[in-house]
Amino acid sequence: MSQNAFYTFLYVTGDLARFAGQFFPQLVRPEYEIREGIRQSYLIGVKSLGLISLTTFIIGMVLCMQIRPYMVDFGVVSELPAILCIAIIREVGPVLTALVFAGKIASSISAELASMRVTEQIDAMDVSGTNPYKYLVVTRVLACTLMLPLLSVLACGLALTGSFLAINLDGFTSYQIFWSEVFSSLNISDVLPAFLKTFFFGFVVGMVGCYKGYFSKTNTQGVGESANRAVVLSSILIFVVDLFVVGITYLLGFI
Amino acid sequence: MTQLQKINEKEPILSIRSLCKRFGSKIILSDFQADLYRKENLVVMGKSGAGKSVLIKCIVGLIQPDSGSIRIHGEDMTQMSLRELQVARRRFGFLFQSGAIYDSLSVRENLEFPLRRVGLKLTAGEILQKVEEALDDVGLLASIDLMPSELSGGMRKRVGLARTIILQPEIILYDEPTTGLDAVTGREIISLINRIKEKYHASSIIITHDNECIRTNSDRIVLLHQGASYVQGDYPSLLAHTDPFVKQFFL
Ligand SMILES: Nc1ncnc2c1ncn2[C@@H]1O[C@H](COP(=O)(O)OP(=O)(O)OP(=O)(O)O)[C@@H](O)[C@H]1O
Ligand SMILES: [Mg+2]
Repeated sequence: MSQNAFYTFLYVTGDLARFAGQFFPQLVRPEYEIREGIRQSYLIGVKSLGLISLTTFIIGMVLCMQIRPYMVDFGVVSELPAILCIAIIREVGPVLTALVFAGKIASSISAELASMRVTEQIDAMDVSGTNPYKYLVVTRVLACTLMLPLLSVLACGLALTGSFLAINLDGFTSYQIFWSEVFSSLNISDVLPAFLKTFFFGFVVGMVGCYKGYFSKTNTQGVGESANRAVVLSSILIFVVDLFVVGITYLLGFI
Repeated sequence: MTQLQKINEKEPILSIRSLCKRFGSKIILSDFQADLYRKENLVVMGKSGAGKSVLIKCIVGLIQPDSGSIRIHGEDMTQMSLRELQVARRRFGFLFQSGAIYDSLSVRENLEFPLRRVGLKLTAGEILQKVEEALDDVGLLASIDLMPSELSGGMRKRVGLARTIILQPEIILYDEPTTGLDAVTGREIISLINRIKEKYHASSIIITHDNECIRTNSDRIVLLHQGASYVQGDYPSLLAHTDPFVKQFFL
């Protein structure tokens, strides 16, 4: 059983890689779907903005409340903004944003494409001389790849704001002191890998969502199933990508 | 009969030879043959599940046949690269059984979709004129700004039909154009199909169970049974056929 699952995993990954491999050739081939790309970026950004803002803001607050007592015990409470900043910028912000994004966007992309598959709309595009991969997949994957980094920056800002408010729950810290602590503790080696990996996260979410929808089973059940699987697979891949990126930066001595 | 002979003298624009397709162990098409001539309506009949939809999807390359050839003006479409196939597909119009109109676009945008992306370089005025003309043909001019979710099943089908004819294709494949429509609208669609044929000299393959449509619109009929063409002929000859299997289609 577990061996079977392993083979299935390998098979799906290989198939996904083949599907994803068409992305760059199709992206650079002329007849660019610019309007549709912009429309998708807007929709994807707007759809996930509220949820990402709320969750990261809360996580910022909670993180602060959880860590603060230990900092007080060790007598290093003045280091609190720096610690929170490292945790949020390096890991919590990007990964949490990506996971929430996966839950919201991978499922909606995949359900949309799956229902287009079921109702033969993708076939209709194909016969009308429009390349559905270019029109549907390239635009959405590109939109995800570009929007997730933006959302992630916003999310980090909100998480830090949440932490700032939580610090002020007991004991007052001035706005200026908090933010100057935050920025002085940041290095380019904190920001850059964390920012770059969000592009990969966005690409993974968009690609998995499209892949699961594009090859959905042609029945109504298939729509729900593919949306569900898109979320599961893209969440797993986010962790795998995260491990790779952090591993590489670690080995390169960036940490 | 004389008309049929006259058509037969010409070269077929589409010729299908020994077409085979199976899904798993299920054989859908085996050694299917048919020709389509210029300005001809070829009706394909057959029981539900006989493989009629699979047949016309093979023709436009949506389903890859296992073997056999489909030649358009002598060029084999089954051997084409994806890019050649995309060019060849521009000769075709395809009305899907379900209509297959794009849910996220309005009726107007649905019709503009093919116009804007086959490289015709039309002006906004020309596009609007074509859209309105096609919608007028199917009697839906008033619904131009509705979304597909606001349309009835029959209206969706008619929007699908308008989108199919808007590029004035050379060969039109209709998958059950009148199914799900009331008798009056059905007759309108049938006469529309005829008008399109006269106006644009289009050839059509029509899948239908509608006896009215067969009687008035068919130049030739193919009866698909067990994956092959069981009989071919014009309407009177099939009506007079003595084979019990053929007879049950014309009761
Ligand atoms: N993608 C597919 N995978 C597996 N089997 C398929 C596929 N498409 C069609 N079939 C099978 O092929 C057979 C023929 O289907 P098709 O849709 O061509 O029937 P049809 O003649 O159009 O019937 P109807 O009049 O009901 O539309 C069916 O038994 C169907 O189960
Ligand atoms: Mg069918």
